[in-house]
Amino acid sequence: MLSTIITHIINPLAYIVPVLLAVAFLTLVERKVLGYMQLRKGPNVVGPYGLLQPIADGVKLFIKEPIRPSTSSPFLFLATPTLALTLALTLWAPLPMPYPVTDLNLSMLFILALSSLAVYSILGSGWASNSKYALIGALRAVAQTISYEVALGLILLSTIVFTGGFTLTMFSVTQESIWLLAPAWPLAAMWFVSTLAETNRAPFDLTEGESELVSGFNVEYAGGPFALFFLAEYANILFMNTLSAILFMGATNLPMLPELTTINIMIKAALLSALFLWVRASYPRFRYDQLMHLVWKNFLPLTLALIMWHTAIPLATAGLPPQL
Amino acid sequence: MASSKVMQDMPPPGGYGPIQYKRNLPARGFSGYTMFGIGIGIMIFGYWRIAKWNRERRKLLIEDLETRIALLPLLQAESDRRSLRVMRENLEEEAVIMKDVPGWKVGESVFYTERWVSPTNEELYNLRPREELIKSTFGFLKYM
Amino acid sequence: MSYLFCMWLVLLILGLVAVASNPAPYFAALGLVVVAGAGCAVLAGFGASFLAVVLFLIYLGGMLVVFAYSAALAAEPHPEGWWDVSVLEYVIFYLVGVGVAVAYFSSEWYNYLLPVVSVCKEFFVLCEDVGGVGVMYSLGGGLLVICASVLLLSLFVVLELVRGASRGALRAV
Repeated sequence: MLSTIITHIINPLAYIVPVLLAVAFLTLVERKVLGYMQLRKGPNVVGPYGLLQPIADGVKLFIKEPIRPSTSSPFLFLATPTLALTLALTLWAPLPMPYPVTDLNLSMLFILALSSLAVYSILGSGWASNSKYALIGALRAVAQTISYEVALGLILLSTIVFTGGFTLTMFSVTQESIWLLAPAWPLAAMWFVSTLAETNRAPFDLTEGESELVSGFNVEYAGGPFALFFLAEYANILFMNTLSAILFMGATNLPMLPELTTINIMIKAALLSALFLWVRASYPRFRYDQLMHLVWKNFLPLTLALIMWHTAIPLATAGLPPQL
Repeated sequence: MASSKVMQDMPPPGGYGPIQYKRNLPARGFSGYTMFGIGIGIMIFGYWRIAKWNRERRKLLIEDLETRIALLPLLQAESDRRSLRVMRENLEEEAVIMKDVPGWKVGESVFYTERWVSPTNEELYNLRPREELIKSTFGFLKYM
Repeated sequence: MSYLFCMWLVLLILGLVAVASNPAPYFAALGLVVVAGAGCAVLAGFGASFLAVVLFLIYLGGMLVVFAYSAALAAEPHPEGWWDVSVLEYVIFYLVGVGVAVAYFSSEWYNYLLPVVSVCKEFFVLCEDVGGVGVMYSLGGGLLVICASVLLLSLFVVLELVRGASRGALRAV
C-alpha cells in the first residue's frame, strides 16, 4: 500500500512540483531578461526584485472567470488544455536526470510519440472554440509543429545511430568519452532551431505573434484554461532544453554521486533556456513561407543526407555501438 | 531665350568620382575558411573519439553476454524450481477451495492441447501477496 | 491485465466499426485515432513495444494530418454522427458481421491467437518484436503481400480522389 502511494502519487508529485515551480520562475526570468535587454527593469513591484510576480499572475489567472463560448464544443474546449498540461508534465517522466521516474526501454520514442500527441491539444482547442480565427490559428500551429517534428525525428535518428539504442540513459553512457555535440554539431544547431520552432518560440512564434495578431489557437481562452496552456507551453520549453542537454551535452553519471549529474544537466538546460530568451530578444519574426521553406527545403534534405553519412561513418570505421 | 547670367551648377567634366558606398567592415576574427576547417576538425575528432569508445562498449557488452550465458543454466533451474513450487502450492490451495464442488478435477488443464503451456505470472501469483506478482513482473527494481 | 487487454481488443473493433460506417470526416478521423491507439496498445500487450510506439508515432501524426485536412476541407454545419440513420445502418451491419465472426471462431479461438511470450523474460536476448520481424516475413508472408497490395490500392484511391475535376473528387481543382 505504502509503495503504491509512493510510486503512483508521491513520485509523480516529486517531479511535477519542481517543474511547475521552474516554469513559474522561467516566466519571471524571461520578463526580467527581456526587460534588461531593452534597458528597462521588468517586473519589480511584487515581492523583492519582483520574485512573487509569477505567483500573483497565477493567482490572477486562476481566480478569473473562465470564458466558455456558447457555440463551442464544451467538453473538448475544456479537455484540450488539460490534455496539453498533462502531456507536458508526462513528458518529464522518462527523462534521466540521471535516473528517470519511469524507466522505459524506448524512452526516446515514447517522448516523440507523446510530443506528437501534444499537437492534438492545439488542433482540438482551435476546433472546439468554433471560431474561424482560432481554427486557422490552430491549423497554422499544427502545420508548423508537425513539420518541425519531422526534422526533430530525423536528427534524433542520426544521434541514435551513434548511441545504438532508443533509451535515454544510453545517451549518457555514449557521451562518457565526448559530447555528441562534437561529432554532430551541425545536427545540434538544427536541433536547437527546430526546438525553437517546435515550442512556438520567437522567431517562429507565428501562431501567437503577440505584436501582430491577438493570439492563435487560444483566442477564445481566458482564466484557468488559458493558464493551463501557458504552463504547458513553458514546461515544454524547459523540457526541450533539458532534452537537448541530455542528447548533445550528456553528463556522465557517477553512481556514487548522482546529484552531481543532476546539477550538471540542469545547469546546461538553464543555459540553453537563457539562449532561448536571448534569441527571443534578438531576432525578428519569420514569415510563414520562410518558416516552411526552412524546414522542408533546408533542414529536411540536410538531415536526410546526414543520416546517410552518420550510418556510413560508424560502419566504415568499425565504430558501431553495441546493439541489443 | 537669352543666355542666363547665372551659371548652373554642373557636375565636373567627366562626372563625379566614385562614391564609396560599400560598408567598410574591419576584418574581425577568423576567416571563413579557418572556421570551416575548425568545424570539420572538431567533427573528425568527435567521430574518432565516439568510434573508439563504441568499440570498447561492444567489448564490454560481449563480456556481459558471456557472463549471462554462463549463468543461464543456473538461472533457468532457479526459475523452474520457483514456478514449480508456486504451482504446487496453488494446486494444494485449489484442492482446498474447490473441495465442495462435485466432479472438480484439481489441476486440469484449461487448454485444448497436450503441450506444456508455461504459466503466466498472473496465474502463478494469483493467490500470493501482490508484491510477489509485481516483483516477478518487474524484476528486482527497487523502486517499483 | 487480461481484462485490460480484452478492453483494448473491443475498443479496436468498435473503432473500426466507427470508421467503416462512413460518418462525417471529423468523426471518422476520431475513430481512426481510437483504432490507432487501441491497436498500438494491443501490440504492446503482446510485448512488441518497439513496434507499438513507432506505429503510435506514425499513425497519430498521420491521423492528425487527416483530421486537419478534413476539418479544413469539409466544414459541415451538421456533421453526421453515428446516430443518424444512414450511418446507423452501417454500424448495425458491421456489428452483426462482427457477431457472426465471433460465433464462427468462438469454438477454437485460441488457435488464432498469438502466443504471449512475456513470461520468460530473463532468458531472451532479443525483445519480442525483433524476433517478430523474422516471423512477419516467414509465417506472415501471405498477409504481408495482402497488406502491400491494399496499400497500393489505397495509393490509387488517393490519387483518384485528389486528381480533381471528375469522378467524385474532393473538390474541383
